[in-house]
Amino acid sequence: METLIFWSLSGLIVLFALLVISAKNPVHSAIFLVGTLLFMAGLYILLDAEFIVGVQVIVYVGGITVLYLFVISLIVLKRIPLESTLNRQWPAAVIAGLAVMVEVAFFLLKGDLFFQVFEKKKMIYGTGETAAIGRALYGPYVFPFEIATVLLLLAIIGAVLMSRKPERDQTPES
Amino acid sequence: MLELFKPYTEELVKIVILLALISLAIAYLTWLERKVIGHIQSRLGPMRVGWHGLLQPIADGIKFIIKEDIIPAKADRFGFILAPLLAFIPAFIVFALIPFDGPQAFTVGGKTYSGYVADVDIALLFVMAITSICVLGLIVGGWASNSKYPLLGALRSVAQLVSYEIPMGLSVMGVVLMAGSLSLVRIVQAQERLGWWFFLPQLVGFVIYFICGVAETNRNPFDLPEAEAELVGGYHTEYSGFRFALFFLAEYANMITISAVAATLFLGGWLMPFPSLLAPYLSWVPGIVWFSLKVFAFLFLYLWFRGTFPRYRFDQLMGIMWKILLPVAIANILVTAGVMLYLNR
Repeated sequence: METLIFWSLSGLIVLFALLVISAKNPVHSAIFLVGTLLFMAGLYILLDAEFIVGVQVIVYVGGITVLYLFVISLIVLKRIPLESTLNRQWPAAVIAGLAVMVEVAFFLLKGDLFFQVFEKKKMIYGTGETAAIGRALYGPYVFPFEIATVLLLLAIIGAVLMSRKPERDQTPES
Repeated sequence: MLELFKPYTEELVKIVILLALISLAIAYLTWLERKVIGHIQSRLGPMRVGWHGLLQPIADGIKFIIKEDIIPAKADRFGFILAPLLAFIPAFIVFALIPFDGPQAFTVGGKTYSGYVADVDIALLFVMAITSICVLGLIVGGWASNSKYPLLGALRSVAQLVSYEIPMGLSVMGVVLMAGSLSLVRIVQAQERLGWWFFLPQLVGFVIYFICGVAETNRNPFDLPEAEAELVGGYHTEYSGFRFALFFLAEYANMITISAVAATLFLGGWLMPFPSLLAPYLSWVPGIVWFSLKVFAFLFLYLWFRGTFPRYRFDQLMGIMWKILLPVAIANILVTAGVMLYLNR
């Protein structure tokens, strides 16, 4: 049963990822992206990583793709000439893609060390997955975690600053 | 292939029963809404179909099904067809996670069954995650209609829903801190152990949760996305027939979800009120009855709101969320965490 689910999910992920890049309409791409992300959440369920599933759906599906759609749907699509999905950049894309594939394959074949570290961490922080993440984030990793929050705050303030109109003496909208 | 599903017979049977019950509940929620609003406004509400209009939802359902299915010529067909499903399916998936009754709810043929489909370790997070998928249906539907009012309505809905998810998620954290678990079943069991339902110690979180819940389901006084005076009908203006019915069902299913989660988190789920007083007389009442009564109370509150409050302006809506609900929710977490730390010293 598990292998059946795994292979059907993997197939669907690849299929939807192909649809994301081949769809002409950006809104359709975003919808297919939702499919890819949801099926990936399915793979996380198979790995018993429940917390990651919840976060994946909340952040990527409920947050990021919704914002994508929000922005895309505000653009009048007819004014943009719909470019062919294969433009001059494709050789660079092929090279980059191959590089990532080689990298992943290398780690899968030689990366025993990485997985051993992961197993060790699991032993330290206990089996309850959500609790383990909490203990790790507020234990030894509290400093990087807090740095990340500061970075995010900076990004938010920066975005607000950039979106403000520069003129000071603006007449208030009636 | 069938053999593969055999270990899941119990869950499958429960899912079928649940689907039927929830659909029926939604149908009669619309009837109740029209009746309650009617009586608030000194009218009678539906009276014609059946005794006091009791068969009205069924007549409405048949009407939805036999109406012509119209897809506007300029609409994006793919998005237009997909959007109602994106709103509808997650709204029903959530019910698999809600504990309608305890782990030993009922016995059939000497075997005890639980009153829920699945007890997931992080059920609360899952509920939040799955309800956040519904937003996609609204924005895709509004965009695919290729028309001004649905797009404006959809943009408003999404801005509102995405914003109110934040204080909503924060407001339930107090309960999670007190229960020490994200599992809905264990949260109810924690309330049983404590002897108090969490709405008393978590009154602030409770109020914030319900306000956000009303906003999340686009109901009055936060029903800006479908402000008919400005926007005709919101994101579903171009929809008709059964596709509209799917959006409609999703909205009412979401109302039931919010009420059910509120009942579980803050009102003790399937537990009996005043157990020391009532247990000798009412222990034969199954937990699902108590749960349904609590959910019904919240749903009635929804309808009462609709009959009472005027609609907010959009800037007021965002102001309430960012300037009041969010800071208070964060303060609530800090205070709860502090008190828990002090008590567990």
